[in-house]
Amino acid sequence: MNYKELTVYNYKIVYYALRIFGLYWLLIQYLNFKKISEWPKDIYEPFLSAQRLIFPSYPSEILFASILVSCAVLLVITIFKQNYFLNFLIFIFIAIINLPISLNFSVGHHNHLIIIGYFMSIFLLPKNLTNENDYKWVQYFYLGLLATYSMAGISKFLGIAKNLIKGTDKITWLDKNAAKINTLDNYWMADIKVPNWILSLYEYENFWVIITVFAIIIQASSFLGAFNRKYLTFVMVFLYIFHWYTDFFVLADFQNAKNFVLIALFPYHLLYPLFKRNKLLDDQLLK
Amino acid sequence: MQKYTKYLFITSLLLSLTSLYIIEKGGKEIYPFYSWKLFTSPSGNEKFEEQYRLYNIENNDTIRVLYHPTAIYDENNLGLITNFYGKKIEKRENLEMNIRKMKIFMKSYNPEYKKLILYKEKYCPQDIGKSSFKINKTLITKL
Repeated sequence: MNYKELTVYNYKIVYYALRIFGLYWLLIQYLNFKKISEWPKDIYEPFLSAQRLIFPSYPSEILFASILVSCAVLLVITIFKQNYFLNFLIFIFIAIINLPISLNFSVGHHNHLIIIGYFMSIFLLPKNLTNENDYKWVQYFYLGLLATYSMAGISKFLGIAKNLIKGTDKITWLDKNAAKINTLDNYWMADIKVPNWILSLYEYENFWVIITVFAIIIQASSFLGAFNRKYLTFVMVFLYIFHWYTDFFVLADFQNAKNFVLIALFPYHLLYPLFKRNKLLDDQLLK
Repeated sequence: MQKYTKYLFITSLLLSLTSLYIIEKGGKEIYPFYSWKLFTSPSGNEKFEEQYRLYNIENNDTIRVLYHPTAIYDENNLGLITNFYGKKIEKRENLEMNIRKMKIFMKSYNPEYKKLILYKEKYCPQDIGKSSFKINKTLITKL
């Protein structure tokens, strides 16, 4: 397969993988919902005032479970019947489901990538991706996902530039021990003792300056993955490790985003010889 | 219809950038198109950082309320919620209601905490883990 073919091929698998992943994600949201349900009813603080229009108080189990089940039904239906409008509804449902989970007290970014993933895939139905030039639209799908990381990376460069130009005494990512202080401060605020293995890794002070700059460059340039399959695979591995790092070193749990990165960006075409042996899968996906 | 994916991308990007602009102006993001200005500088980049912390009076001693994970709260939840109400209480925003909510919250965390005092702690992040590390407490109010 050439680049154009394999890009379309990969998306066709992503389409189905997103639906299976979606069911898993709904289950995790249910568990998160249950946990927050145990909090006293009075301490519900929606981040956006518009949230009160949908959930004036923290949703009841019946209401929230109905929304989850409706979304699950749509995910299953669209496995068999590809439809733009149903895709749009899935996006709306996922965005609504995320509200009481991630936008209570503050705004949590850990599900953003997933919401954007369903948003970017609204108009991409495998059955209609028949033309060789359809790879362009898949590139936009990747671009939509990766732009979020690029923006986060570029904003770090801007942060560094601003502090250097203004000559502030703030610590920037270029400073020795920047990553270490980032870790210590996050652990300090959460009252958790920093594990010794993390502290001993931070003893390599100069190594961390290099790795931090390297990571910011990859993060900022991750959008380029939309145009080059090999770079996309590299970015996928990088983002996976990056999320793993933030989980352990910054206590920012991006568990679902981490899995989503793998599912959405995976080089499925490498497994093509395996799929080819399975006639059914091959017929489903490539025709 | 797949060609519209291009416009979805443009929409998403523009709304994220607009979110960024609105946040700079003190507003909130256009959900679900968040801004992605995360960790522009490392956490703890300022010379001094502040956080709101609760203390409890036990046998005439003022003991700092520590965050331990429970069945319903993890450490991040505890810090986030304490800071949320702490800030509102210091700004005297709906003072009575927010004090009441902070108490309800603490009761659900640990019913043993009955004589709570809210402080604002100021510390130097660069000193964390060093012997020179110290916390400057400012009393906000008794709850």
